[in-house]
Amino acid sequence: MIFNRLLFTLLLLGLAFLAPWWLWFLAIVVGAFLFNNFYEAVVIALIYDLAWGTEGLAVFGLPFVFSIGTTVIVLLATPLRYRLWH
Amino acid sequence: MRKSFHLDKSLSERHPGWRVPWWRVWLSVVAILLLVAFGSLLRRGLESPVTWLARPLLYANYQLTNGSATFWDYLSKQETLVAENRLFREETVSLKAKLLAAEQVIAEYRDLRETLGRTTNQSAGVVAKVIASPSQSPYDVIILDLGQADAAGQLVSGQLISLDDILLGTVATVFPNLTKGELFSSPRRELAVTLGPEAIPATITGAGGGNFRASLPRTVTITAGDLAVVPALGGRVVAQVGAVDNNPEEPFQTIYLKVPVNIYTLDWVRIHDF
Repeated sequence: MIFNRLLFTLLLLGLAFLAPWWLWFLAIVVGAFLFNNFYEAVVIALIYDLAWGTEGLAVFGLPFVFSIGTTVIVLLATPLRYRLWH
Repeated sequence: MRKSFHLDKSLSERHPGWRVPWWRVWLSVVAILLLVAFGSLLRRGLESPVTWLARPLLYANYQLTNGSATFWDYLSKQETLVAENRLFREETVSLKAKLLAAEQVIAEYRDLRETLGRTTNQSAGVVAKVIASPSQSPYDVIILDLGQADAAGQLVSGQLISLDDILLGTVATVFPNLTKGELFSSPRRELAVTLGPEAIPATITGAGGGNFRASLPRTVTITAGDLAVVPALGGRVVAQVGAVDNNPEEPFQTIYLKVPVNIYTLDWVRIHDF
């Protein structure tokens, strides 16, 4: 399981730079439901925001919109995931 | 029958996975608040190393995209035709952009003839290759292959990025080997322009994806195809009116503009001073 988790994290990191943003973000949502407390995705989202965003740039009025979005998704996915798998 | 939005206590006790621990919720809230409050500090510290680490991936993506197109083009006749068709379309878009730029130059030339004695000081600037286009992020940011080391210190933030004399954006950050440019069409970015042949002053707001929006009184006549130029930046073209939403019931009309070139297929751009 740890190996799968590591592999998926590396895949996410690759997708952040090789794929369109919506595909990468979809993979994050899938990851949040596949793995418990998938906070690695928040780190990847932070890397994404740092690499693609610029100073003062805000989408939906928020800086680091993907990091914030991923944190919320991972947080919400925990009980939902439990409901799905149990 | 008990009516409550709370989970059954015994159920949540039996299945602790239902509940997210409060400390984790608070930690996430604190992390989000820190990001909002000290985001720029974090960016200043980490942006350069992260971009440096991402550089091989960005170049790999650029090579993969170009390589795959060439491979499939040669795979079959049909696909070669499709590729040719695509090239012609791109060329048409490029020619349209050049035509718009030429029209703008002619208009400027006429103005200059009227105001004798005015001198222009336009440097050729630096030509840079676009290695990452906005299709990979919703931020309308492009990443260029030149950096501080390659351009011998000629690159500084705030310089203009243009293609065929059409203004695209400004340099946001210069790294040792890469440059990040922010397009004028980035979400919520505002730009003072003049619209149409009557040079109506307006403020256009970036809407992402190479699009802009502007709001003007309904009585002002704006038609599709009118150009938006930036007087403060040498009167260069920045956008073209695509559609006008003129509702008789409302006092203002909404004008939708777009960048005259396809920002998703940018290859080379010019970085220059005003």
